[in-house]
Amino acid sequence: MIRILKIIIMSIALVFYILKPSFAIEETEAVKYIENVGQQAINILKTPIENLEKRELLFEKMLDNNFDKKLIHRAVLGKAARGASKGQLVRFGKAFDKHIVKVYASQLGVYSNQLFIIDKAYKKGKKDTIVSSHIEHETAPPLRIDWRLRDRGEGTKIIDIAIEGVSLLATKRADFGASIKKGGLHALIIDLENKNAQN
Amino acid sequence: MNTKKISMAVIFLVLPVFFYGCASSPDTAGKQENDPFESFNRQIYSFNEGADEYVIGPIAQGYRYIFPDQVRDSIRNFLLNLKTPMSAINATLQGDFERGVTAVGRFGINSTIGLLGFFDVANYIGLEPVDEDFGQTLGAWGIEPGPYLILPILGPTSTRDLGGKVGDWLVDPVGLYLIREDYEDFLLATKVTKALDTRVELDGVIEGTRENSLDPYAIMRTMYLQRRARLIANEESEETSIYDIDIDVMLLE
Repeated sequence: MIRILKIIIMSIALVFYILKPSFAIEETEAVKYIENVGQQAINILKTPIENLEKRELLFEKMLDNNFDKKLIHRAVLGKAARGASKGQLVRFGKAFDKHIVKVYASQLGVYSNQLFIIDKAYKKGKKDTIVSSHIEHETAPPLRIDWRLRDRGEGTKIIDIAIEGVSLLATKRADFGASIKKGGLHALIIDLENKNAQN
Repeated sequence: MNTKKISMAVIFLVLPVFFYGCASSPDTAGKQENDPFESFNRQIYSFNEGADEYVIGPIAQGYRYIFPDQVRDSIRNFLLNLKTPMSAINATLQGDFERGVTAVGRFGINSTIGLLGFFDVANYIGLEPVDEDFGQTLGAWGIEPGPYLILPILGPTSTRDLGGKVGDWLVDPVGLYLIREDYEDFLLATKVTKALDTRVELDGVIEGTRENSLDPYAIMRTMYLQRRARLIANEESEETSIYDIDIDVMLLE
């Protein structure tokens, strides 16, 4: 009985979480926001790859300031977040953020006169604004990056990035599926922490 | 048309019916991927990983080492040019006549002024590359990907895209010409080179996935399906973009 009650309360809390007022950001504002984020990304690229510690620090700062981490954590976990304790969610959040920072700080490459160009912005539904951009480089085909923005009452934040059509949220969710299936959120946290320790 | 080709044509006609019936997931990312043969696919994936680690990967590295960037770019241009007539047919079948005409223009210019396509002259005058296959055409016609498959050596595909490959093979004007003129070896060489070039291009993605993911198989599957969905949308339409994924539904599922 207590378990059922707990599930009901958690479900109601989740519905309230989703229904939290969200606003689609005006296109011009969204473009300005992504221009700023693009500049931060270029600064990371300009940091020598050998100075991985500084790169990770800059990337972490960008993640903290510009991404809706709470929503991203929830979306990546999906129903695996249901019934999880606050402590578990905090521990997952830390492991996930560290994982993302490590992956991207080392894989972003180096700056070699790439141009970051914003193509267009448009509203997607009532809540989101998409900014389409691409990176131009003399010796490589253009790399398309789409940014999905949402304001949940705490200012504009990025909630997903799609590189060449591949969404970060959907990809990470797929990546974690097997661990969650194996042993729920606990198993995923352990696997992520182990992976972070390896890298 | 010989018996072999007729048999293939029959398979090609039947396949879409098969995968249309099997299809259960929409052609967008973030939703449950249609992978009923996952256990078998994972075994093939493991085999491919071994083949890549010990054979294909080293050969691709050799290819990269031997040919400098500029030479590989020219080879890539040449291979894309050979595929362009097929792309023109597919763009037209998708109702995208503008890109169909662009492809024809590109083929004409690059095959002549561009020295058989080794130099992408057409791109300089604003005719951007067109790369369409029959799998994308089927997707544009509303046929869903169907069950996800991993083929030995060839890697990820879907039943729709596998049918598409057969379709391309049956009607590719350049391929048919080369077969008719007994240049099968050359045709095979172009396919192998294309595969190596793709492997070189994807090197960062493949290595990154191996190093950083908890489940590389699942990552490859979702990346393949999302990428194909994007190619079918042609990156133009806002309505059919990758962002058909519903993040609010992701929170609940």
